[in-house]
Amino acid sequence: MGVGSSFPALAGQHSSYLEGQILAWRNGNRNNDPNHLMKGIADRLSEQQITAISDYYANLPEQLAVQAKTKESR
Amino acid sequence: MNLWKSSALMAVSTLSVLAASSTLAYAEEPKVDHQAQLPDAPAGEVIFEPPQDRDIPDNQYGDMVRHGRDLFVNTQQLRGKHVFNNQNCVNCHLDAGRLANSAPMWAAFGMYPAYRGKNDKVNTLSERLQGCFTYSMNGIPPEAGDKTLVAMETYFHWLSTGRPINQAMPGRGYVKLEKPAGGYSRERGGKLYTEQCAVCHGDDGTGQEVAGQVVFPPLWGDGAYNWGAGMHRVNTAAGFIKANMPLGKPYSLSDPDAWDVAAFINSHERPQDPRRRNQDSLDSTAKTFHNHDGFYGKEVDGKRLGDHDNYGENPGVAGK
Repeated sequence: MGVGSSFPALAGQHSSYLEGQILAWRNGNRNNDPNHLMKGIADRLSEQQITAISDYYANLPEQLAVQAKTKESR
Repeated sequence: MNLWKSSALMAVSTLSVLAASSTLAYAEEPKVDHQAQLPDAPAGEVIFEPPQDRDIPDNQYGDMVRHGRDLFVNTQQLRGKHVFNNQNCVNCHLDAGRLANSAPMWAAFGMYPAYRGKNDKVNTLSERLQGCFTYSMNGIPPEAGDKTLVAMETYFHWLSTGRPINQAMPGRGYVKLEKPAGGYSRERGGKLYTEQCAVCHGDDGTGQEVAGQVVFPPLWGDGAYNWGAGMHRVNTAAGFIKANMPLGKPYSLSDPDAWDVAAFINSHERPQDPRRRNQDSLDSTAKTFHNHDGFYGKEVDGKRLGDHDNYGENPGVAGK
């Protein structure tokens, strides 16, 4: 969903884009995060975790829709 | 109803303010230190790992664990009933109360019942939780046995699976930082706050919300923890900040920087200390409960902090 002007929404971004950005922070190609908040996080993530997180956010809108539907039908 | 005596060191209470019905079993021994904190966590590597959410059992106990977890991460669902500010438990106990050196609940569980100077009696875990509601949530605590407390304690119990009872564990509470030899400075802290903290918590300390949900909690003002909460102490906040803030950059600030920024944050107004209701004056409240590293009753920028009747949104049933 994102927060204010400094924290953009992630839900529904393509997983390849998210994965690419996290890797870019990790190897120093991307460098525009406030206070290097993302750099610190990217450095501590394994490749496997980066893939998992990227897939999670890419699929989040669908997941939430399913959850909302299940709740409704209860 | 309050009887105050002075000792050479500090004013002491013979009546616990929080326990108005206390039986005064130790009335002849009036040297109560309301400032005393629990002993530090032992040094050493954090070995304990709480179980994973997927391991919550699928039965009534598990349902209560999930309910407690839900209350812990979204405490705002109790807003107007038990919570009267913008805080959630998880704001100070990161990762749903799992993270070491962020006052994890598996480390707290098993330490209670414990004597606390803060109210001068042996506190059960329920009473300790009620203290959190009174101060950190600026709220009205649920009664003992209330489902809210049962759920939270069940969640803590589950998190503590395999943890030894009555034994302090590394990672409990917040890290203890020695006070810098040169003291701490609001001015230096203010500069650091602007650079390191304001992106999330805002220049005015009010935090940020999205769609009515608190994402980054307020650090001062009516939405923040009140003047009685442990976090308003500079040393406590410094320890929390050092190991946990800025979020995602633990241990990135030097110890003196953590003290400075804690001093800046905690030298702003916040809801009144609920114990003030049972006190004659700001002076007596400050003298009895605030002989520590904090700004309550101190003059900052020409105004005395805590010199007001603003209890935030709390309607005043609390403070018993």
